[in-house]
Amino acid sequence: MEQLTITPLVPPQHGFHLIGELDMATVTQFKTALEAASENGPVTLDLAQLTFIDSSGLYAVMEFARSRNGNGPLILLSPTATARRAIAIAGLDGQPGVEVR
Amino acid sequence: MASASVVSLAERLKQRRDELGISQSQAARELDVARTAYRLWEMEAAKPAPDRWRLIASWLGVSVTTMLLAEDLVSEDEAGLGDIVAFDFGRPGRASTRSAGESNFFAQARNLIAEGTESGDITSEHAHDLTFLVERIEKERSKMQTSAWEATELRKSLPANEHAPKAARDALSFVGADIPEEPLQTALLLASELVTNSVVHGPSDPSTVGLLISVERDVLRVEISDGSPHAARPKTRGEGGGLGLAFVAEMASRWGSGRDAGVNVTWFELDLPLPGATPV
Repeated sequence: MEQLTITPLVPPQHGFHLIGELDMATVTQFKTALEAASENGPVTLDLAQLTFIDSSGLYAVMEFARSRNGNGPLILLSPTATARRAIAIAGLDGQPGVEVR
Repeated sequence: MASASVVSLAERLKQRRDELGISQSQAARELDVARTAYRLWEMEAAKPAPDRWRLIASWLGVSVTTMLLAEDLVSEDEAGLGDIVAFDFGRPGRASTRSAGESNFFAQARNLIAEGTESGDITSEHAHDLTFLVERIEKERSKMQTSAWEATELRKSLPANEHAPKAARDALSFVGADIPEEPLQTALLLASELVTNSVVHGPSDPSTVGLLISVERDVLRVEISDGSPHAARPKTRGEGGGLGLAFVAEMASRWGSGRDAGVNVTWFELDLPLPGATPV
């Protein structure tokens, strides 16, 4: 039915490439992946092929950014126009430790 | 080719019917008209209405333009340009592929007129009338383009589970297939938020989410209801409500919520750029 594919980025980059849609149905899968990424250093989420994200997904991103607690920035890479707007309204782009590129 | 323009419609119909070896009744059936009407056409006692032209032309194996050249079917006063526009170009405000096909049509019509004039098939007087007609249709059509999106309404009841937001988005993508990308993406986000809220906070029995999507003229409206006539019994409160509503408040042209006959309803509207307006 609904699909989210999460692929680890190629080292030395840490993070994930997200393909598909992130909402309440796929957020658990996303959170599980994030738990595996709690190393030090920058973590990148490549959002270029994430065709949809709503507040369910953005809350998970915000929570993860907070939980990193200074362990290097969380980089949100290439969100779609609508995702970028949602990120701005959520104030994620101004949150300490979060970079939107 | 040169003879084509001097054969009357009645003769053409008879010729075609002979070719196919069928009766008047059979021809009438193929053209989707009453047999009497068809007989009157062959007797030149009546002329087909504009909404029949395309079917007749294709049955005869010619273009509508070619068919009209031979006949006095078009006179500015009686033909009713509105009918021509309606039958030949489909529905207004629909199909983004339309413009390409349409400009082709007008270009093709002009070419035919030019060719016909050159070869002597069309008198210059005829050519003048036809050019006038093509221009009128084109003008009427461009007015229609900016008129409205096709009115649509879709109601759906979704099981209130984690898949409901996706189901609502799918329905919206279907209804809004022609809507420009930007407002559609916004609508998908806002609908997803309202459905998520309804799933998280709505009554657990019966556990459904009501979805109403409508497009009218230049407004897309999405209405989400908890689908229960009973008073809402909040489920375990999860995260989500606040931010989702912030998106709605920021991005919707208008929105609101309330209780209607015991059902919680939240809605939003997005103003759409009119079809035919400068693309985003």
